[in-house]
Amino acid sequence: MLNIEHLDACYGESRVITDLSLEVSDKRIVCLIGRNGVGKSTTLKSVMGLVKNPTGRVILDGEDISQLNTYDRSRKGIGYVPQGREIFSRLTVQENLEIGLRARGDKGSVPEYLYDLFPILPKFAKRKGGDLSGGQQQQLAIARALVTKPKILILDEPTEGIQPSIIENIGDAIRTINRELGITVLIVEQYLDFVLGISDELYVMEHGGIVFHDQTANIKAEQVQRIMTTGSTTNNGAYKKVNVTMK
Amino acid sequence: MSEWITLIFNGLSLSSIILLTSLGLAITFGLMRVINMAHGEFLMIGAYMTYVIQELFKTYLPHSVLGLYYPCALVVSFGITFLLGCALEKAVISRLYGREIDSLLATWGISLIFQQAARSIFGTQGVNVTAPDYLSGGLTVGACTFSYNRLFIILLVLVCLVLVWLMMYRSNFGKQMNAVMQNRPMAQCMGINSRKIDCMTFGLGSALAGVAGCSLALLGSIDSTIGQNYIVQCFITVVLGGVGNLIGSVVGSGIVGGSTIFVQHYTSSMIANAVVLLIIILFLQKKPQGLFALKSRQLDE
Repeated sequence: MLNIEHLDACYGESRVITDLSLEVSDKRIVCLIGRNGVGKSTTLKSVMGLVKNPTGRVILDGEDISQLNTYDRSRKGIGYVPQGREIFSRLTVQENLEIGLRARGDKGSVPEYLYDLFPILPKFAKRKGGDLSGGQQQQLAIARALVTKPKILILDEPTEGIQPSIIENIGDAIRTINRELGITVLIVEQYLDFVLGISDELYVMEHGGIVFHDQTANIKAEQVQRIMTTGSTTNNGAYKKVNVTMK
Repeated sequence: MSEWITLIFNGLSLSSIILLTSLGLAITFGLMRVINMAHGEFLMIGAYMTYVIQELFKTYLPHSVLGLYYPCALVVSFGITFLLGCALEKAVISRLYGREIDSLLATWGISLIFQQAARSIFGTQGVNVTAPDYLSGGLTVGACTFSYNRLFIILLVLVCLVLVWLMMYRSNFGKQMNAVMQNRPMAQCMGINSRKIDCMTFGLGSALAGVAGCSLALLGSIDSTIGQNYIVQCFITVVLGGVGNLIGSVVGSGIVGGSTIFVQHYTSSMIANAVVLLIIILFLQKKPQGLFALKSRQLDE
């Protein structure tokens, strides 16, 4: 579904991502976890074409989209939920939802299942996006990305600054999106419990590259916690670094 | 009493011209945050286009259809300034987003080029447009006379205002434009071709200045500095009303135009401009976000 191959990205003189490769298989929930500043968000921004001049390849369904503009990547089927939601604050909830459809010349309406998934949205349809709380904005951001029926949904720290009960709702919604709608999901997170409860596969990032990758079912929380705390993939030989292999 | 009615009518007339020019600026400066010093020159181009169309009608068409030159000039002024605005955005402005000082300097340079080009083509002396018959004369009510051309300009401004409002807040293009102006990267992530929207938006703002120029041509002589006479008032109007707010521009133009005419009646036009500017500077010290500041829970507002 989505392959990132040998990605390098810089902000000015500082290199943020070095030779990063990962694969997100069809209909899977894949999480990318790591400490602050290791390059997780930059990886997602590179997928969306929001980082200047990255090298490497981004392949969606066998097609190299590395040279495409951001809006063309979106039209190819990538739904993006950025860190901080980035809701269009002066547009209403309804307008936020419809904007992606209208950009594609689609005169259709917002799919009903999104209102079932996020019942808060029809209730606040006429309210300005900027007037919603953080949790409500996060639900709107996810729904907005889903309106155009993307092949893959990528989410950047969807639990950031959200109260626990809403985090649970967001987790349930992501599972439903994946299981019932068949949409592939790539999530960047720092909240380990959330990630372990939701993902099929886990990648751990450190210093701009992938240092650990396995099926979530095989992973122990302490194992990932140690990597995230120390930046090391070994614990007196107890844990071995798992090399990333492309499927 | 009739003196006051005439004063109010003149204030309304000046306000409507300022509003028409400010509508374009409310889009390019208010929404796109581009300090376009060449905005006044689009007004000048619109005015000169009116003169050119009038001359073409006089030269090539029978006298019976001469009156049609003005509606034709409105369309041509809109079209030419729209295309020039799009070209300017593509060639210069698109490379300067987020660099306010650079765009200010670049557009100032472009305004000088436009002015010199106008002087080279039309000469340094002003040229005049004759209002068509149906806009000559005036409506007399009691002791007051309201000139048809000023009444027409007020009507034109109202029509433009409604159309701009519909375009900005009711059309798909307007919603995409708002999305791009609020958050360009996120708008792109929603599949919006922001380059196209930027270009069209800037073209539209310039075209509104062109229409303003077309209406100004009815009121006086046209020369290469006609745009410069209005540009400062228009920037003041947009800032006073609250940047990015259409209603703010309407109220701002009413205040700037009305107070200018009122002070001018008792003093002179020079003193009126200075007094109004001083009052607005003092007002902005107290309320820097203008009359209608956009409010939201979002911290970035």
